[in-house]
Amino acid sequence: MVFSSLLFMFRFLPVVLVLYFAAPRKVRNLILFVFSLFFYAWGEPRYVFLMLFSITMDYTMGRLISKFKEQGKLKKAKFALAFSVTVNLGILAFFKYADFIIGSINGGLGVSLPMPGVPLPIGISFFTFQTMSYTVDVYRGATKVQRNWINYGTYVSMFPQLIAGPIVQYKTIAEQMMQKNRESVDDFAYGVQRFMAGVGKKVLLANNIGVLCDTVMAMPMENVPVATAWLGAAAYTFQIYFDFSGYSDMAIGLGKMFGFHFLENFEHPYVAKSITEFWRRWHISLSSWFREYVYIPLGGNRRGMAKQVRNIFVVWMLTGIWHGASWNYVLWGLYYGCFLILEKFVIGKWVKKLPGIFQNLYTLLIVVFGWVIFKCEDLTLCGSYLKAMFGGYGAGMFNTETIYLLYNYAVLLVILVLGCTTLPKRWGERLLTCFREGGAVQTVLRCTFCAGIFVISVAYLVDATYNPFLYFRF
Amino acid sequence: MGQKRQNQIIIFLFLVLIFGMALASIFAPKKEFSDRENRSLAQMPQLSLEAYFSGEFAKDYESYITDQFVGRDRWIGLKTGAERAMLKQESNDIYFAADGYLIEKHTGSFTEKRAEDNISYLAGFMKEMKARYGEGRATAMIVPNAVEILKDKLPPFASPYDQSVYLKKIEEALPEGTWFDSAAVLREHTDEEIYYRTDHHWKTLAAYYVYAAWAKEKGFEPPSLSDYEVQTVTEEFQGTIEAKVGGDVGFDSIGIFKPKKEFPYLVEYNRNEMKTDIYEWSALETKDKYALFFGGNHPIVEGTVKNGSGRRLLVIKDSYANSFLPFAFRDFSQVDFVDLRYFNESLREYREGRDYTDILFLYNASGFAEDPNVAKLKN
Repeated sequence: MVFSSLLFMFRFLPVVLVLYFAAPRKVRNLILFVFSLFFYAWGEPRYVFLMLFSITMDYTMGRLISKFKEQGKLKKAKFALAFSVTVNLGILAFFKYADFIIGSINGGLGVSLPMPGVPLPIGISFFTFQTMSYTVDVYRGATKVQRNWINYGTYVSMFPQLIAGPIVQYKTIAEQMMQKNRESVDDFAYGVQRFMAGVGKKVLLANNIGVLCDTVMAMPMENVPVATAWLGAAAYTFQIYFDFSGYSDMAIGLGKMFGFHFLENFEHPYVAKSITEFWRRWHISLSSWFREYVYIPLGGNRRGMAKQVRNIFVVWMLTGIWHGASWNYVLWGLYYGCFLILEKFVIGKWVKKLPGIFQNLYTLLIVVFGWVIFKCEDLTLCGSYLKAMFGGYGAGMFNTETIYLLYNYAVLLVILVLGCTTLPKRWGERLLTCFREGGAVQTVLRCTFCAGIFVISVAYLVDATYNPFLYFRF
Repeated sequence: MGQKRQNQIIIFLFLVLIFGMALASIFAPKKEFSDRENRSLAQMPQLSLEAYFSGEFAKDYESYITDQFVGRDRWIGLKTGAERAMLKQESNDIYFAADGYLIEKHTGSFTEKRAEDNISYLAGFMKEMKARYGEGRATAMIVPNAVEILKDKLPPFASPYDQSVYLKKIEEALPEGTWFDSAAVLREHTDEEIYYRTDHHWKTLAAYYVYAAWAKEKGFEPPSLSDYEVQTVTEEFQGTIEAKVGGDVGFDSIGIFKPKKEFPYLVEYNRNEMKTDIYEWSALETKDKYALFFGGNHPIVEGTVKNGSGRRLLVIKDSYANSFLPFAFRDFSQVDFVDLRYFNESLREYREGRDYTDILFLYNASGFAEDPNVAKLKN
């Protein structure tokens, strides 16, 4: 199930809210757990059992690790941790990468091993990363062990963050998990507004610009003029940001309604002035996961330059492949690895000396090419798309269709450009501070914002010809 | 009013919105059929273990919620309004064209494999017909859609698929002398009302022009406009394209051409229902007013006309023919037509069982390119 659907907003969410808040506090986690499983099972019920297995296994390993540590049996604790990590990675490898690995072996060696053809369980990359962070943290003593299976299951399966993140580390919500009166009116109201903002980003902005991207991608590349190719790449750049960050907004908002505080996942990534900064602002929960559980354990930057370069490449290859079992994602990860190393050791100081706007342009250019690699799972298509962007087919700079697409999407593009900056947030805050805190005008403004986005989004969902879920490969 | 109060109001508003619409959608009466969209709406699916585990139930249930959402038509209108406010020139593959025309773009219709396959089915069929009925007696006519003929009305710089490319391909695949170029006829009249503004069909006037040109080619005296009394039977028609965009859209009028000198005829529908009128007047009371012509589409319709003509016509057609065929009642003593989408007998047996002198294949371009039933020409 996805949030941006009539099913979620007008069936699932009302039912969960009623049952959750009507129930005594003791069983609220259980209610969340049960409904999260239902949410996950929707459309593909079989993998619920995989998730339950994963929950039970990591819950048990967590208990064991903590017990062994109390008894001072560090070796055994380490073994339990290794078991948990191996099983999690094994699940991931089998369900997500088996076809890819075997396909690559077949292609590379010219053999034809049979492909298992397992359909990918949705959100598997998110929840295996969450469960791993838990057992590792229990082992490290970074968090207390969870002694209640239901509470642990609720953490792993919690529907707000289940299928498209953010990747919530257990230690960040451990306390809230156990807190009896975590919900509050203020949080709920904030959650409502945050959720609405997310719905608007996904349904009104991302979906609409996605149509432009798909229009361009569907054209035969040898006829696509330079400007159209760039327009398509820009469209995807906007689509993936507003889609993904919209999804995170919805997740954070929904979490707040139930009293959970997830960390921020996006901080206006497209205003970054370097690639290093971009990755501090984009999908923060993923980059911090890799930093904490891969980069730093590998030695980070403390063991000399050679080791650091190796570590960066390892992290970015994994980051790439995490996004999907396909070579273009590997390439995309390594592409960023290269730029991060370049910035760290070579061009970083020069970039800093550029005027601000050129720093932005430099960053955006790299990001846009990155998205082309990311979007095209077929590397041949990727090649021809890049060729079209550079006018390699001699299809001219632009044609009538370019003009048509440009003026059709002009208003939306202006909104999107502004939406990538911090301006709307600042303007909104400035507008609100013109009026008395909590006063009538403020209330009307906030309500209009919510209801307006809500009503128009529903109109788009009722007539949903285009409402993709972009993360089914993650 | 304090911060707490404000937050309570926001929460209240949110709950009213989601619960209000959820309850309204659950308790609103369910519709079987949407007149506006002219299609059956999804119904509550049966829940079974099998359907649940295969994911079928989930899919069907979501279609059900979307189709039965309370105020569906108005929501679609609101969406179109939002698109227009953003200065978009199109929505759901439909151009907001000049003079209130809504023109379908037909993206992708002509580039699918089916579009190519249908050409070869038709070419095979026409070759056989030419051999069977003789030179000049078998015609294929694929009528271009509004997007091709009314190019001048499209938004500036719009560049939809060029249907003339596809029509050219058909012409080249067909045997000599079997192609009738209806596009050329229609291009002479682009400043007249030849397509509906809100529907995907051509208007009766366009059918008249094309019929007159075709009849001339077939050796008949072409009818002149003064042979008919043109009656406007409704001015409140909103067709299939309107249903896809909704909102504030104008109306169309439907005209019929009553011959001043009419021959008596009988029309038999599906071999069991005789009628003495080709117009189904009750259709004007419904949304689907174009069904005025012969009451819409049927597997077989057989018209017998007492006009003393020795020519007998079999038409294989889609709904574009419905407003075209009344004109043929002047020149042919037998006008039979089958609609391959509903006709499941052997076309050959049916044809050979009856004594035709002329064959006409009449479709609109996008309908022809998309129709999986064209393969039935081989039957």
